[in-house]
Amino acid sequence: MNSCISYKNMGKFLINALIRNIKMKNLLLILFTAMACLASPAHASDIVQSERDCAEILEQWATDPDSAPKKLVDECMGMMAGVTSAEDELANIVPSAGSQQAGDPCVGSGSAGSVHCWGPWSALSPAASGVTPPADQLPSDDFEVRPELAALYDPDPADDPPTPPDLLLGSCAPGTSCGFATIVDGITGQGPAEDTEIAIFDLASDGSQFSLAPGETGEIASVGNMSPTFSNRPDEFENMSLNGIDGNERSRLIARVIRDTGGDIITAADAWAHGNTATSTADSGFFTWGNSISQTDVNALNSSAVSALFTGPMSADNATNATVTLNFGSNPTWTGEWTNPGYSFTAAGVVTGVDFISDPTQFSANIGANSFVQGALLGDIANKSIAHFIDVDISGVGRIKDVGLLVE
Amino acid sequence: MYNRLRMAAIIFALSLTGIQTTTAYAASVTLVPSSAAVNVSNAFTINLNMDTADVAAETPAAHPGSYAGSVIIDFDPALVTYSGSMSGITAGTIGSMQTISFDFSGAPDVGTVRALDFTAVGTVGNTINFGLTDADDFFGSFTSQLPTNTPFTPSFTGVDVQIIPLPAAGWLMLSGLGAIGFRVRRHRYS
Repeated sequence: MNSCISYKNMGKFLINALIRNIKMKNLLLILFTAMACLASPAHASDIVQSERDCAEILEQWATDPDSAPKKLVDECMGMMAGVTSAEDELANIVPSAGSQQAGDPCVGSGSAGSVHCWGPWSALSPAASGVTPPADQLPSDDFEVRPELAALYDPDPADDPPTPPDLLLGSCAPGTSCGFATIVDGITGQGPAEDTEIAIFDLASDGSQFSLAPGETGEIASVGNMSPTFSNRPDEFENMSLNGIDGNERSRLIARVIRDTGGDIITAADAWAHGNTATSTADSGFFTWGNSISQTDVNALNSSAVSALFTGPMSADNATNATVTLNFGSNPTWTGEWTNPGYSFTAAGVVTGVDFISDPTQFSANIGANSFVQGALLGDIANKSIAHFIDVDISGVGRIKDVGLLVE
Repeated sequence: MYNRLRMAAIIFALSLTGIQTTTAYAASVTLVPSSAAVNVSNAFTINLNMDTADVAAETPAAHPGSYAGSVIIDFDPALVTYSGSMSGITAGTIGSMQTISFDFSGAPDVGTVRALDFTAVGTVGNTINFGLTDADDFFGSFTSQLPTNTPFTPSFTGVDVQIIPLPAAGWLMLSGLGAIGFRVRRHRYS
């Protein structure tokens, strides 16, 4: 029916045909077609096309008054005057079931808003025949998945300093006692890493008692009121021996220590043990302990932006030598290296207060995931030392847990 | 003897409970007498020797190193008495046994830690048994001190000393000398 023209134009066409003496056979065909067109209701698109014809006729008539008969021009003028009201009425037409069967309701300018037609989503559905969709509908990663959160998940490192990893054993407050220890069953202090725990260690400054994991489940507390004995060593330390007996409870400490002029212990390291003779149970291990440096000294070190080098053997396996450098400043950092006849590795990270903790991304390549190095800066500006522990998974070696006191 | 039995009982109990009682080291502490047999009333020496070369091999800077420990030596006072220096020595008793104990520090990895003087007071045919144990019968007292303090558990070996009579040649010589002296005396008076 799209080939039909309006019945008004059809009348003009018949008159013109008669005038031009068209053959009767052709005339009958034209009449039959005209009747068929008259039998069907006028369609919005037909009217629009007629209006378009009239617009062209009028446009041509405006430039050439002889291009169309005056009557045709008058009709077109009348038609164009009612265009607006006719289009509004057609837009509101709801096709009946019969008219939907007779014509496609989804053709034309009003089809996009019709509830009887597919919306724009129909174009996104893959064709049942498996036709390749247009290129602009193919999957693409050239966009931000969550553009509203892009700033959150892609922060600019220059804007915010990196957050240091969580401390494995908690933070050490400036100016307080800090220490770490390994714990194994038995009296030798040695054992496989998988059976070795690492815990906080504390020691009375007069050496009278010690404790592990104080205030936590599984706390180990030595007998009290032990009396230390001291003896000389060939290095910067003294040897201290503690032995305590309280009923069936036994405690022992064998340590390298540095004491102040008042006789109080400033730093200590090496072997501890505690057990019960009645139950034949005992725990033991190695420790490193000291008084952490004050916040005032930390601030002074960061202001001067100096570096400090600390070295020394580890306690559980003294064949391992450690070297740690603290780089003070506005964003203090540290680097460290541990060497043993059987292995070596490096680590680095940030210094926060008196604590330093490893950055998982700054271990050497032979260190596996879930490895940690943590420590604390001890002493004062003139006599600094480091208490630290390593809990690392070394490729080809296995897990290593140890503690160490390093001096400047 | 009582100490040794007590130590053995503790080690046995610890082994039953699965507690690790010793390292893999083969360090040893032994008593070595100047002679395996002594005459009645004679003085003799017993050395406390230590060999921790195995520990030194495992520990950097441990040779000659510096080692510390504490021992108890027990013996029957009816057979022998301690007659050496009492410097650093603590005397005591355990049951009927006499004990001497002492600490040491800074000892090398291999060698004599201390020489101890005794005098045999028993009778001919007696055997003097010297027992040796760690003074700390629960944790142990032996430590390698360099470069860090590392406890280790050595083995302990005592020693037996026999009290023997003077040899036959000695009696013959004494009788000969007596005979000569007797003849000289008779010749003077005649």
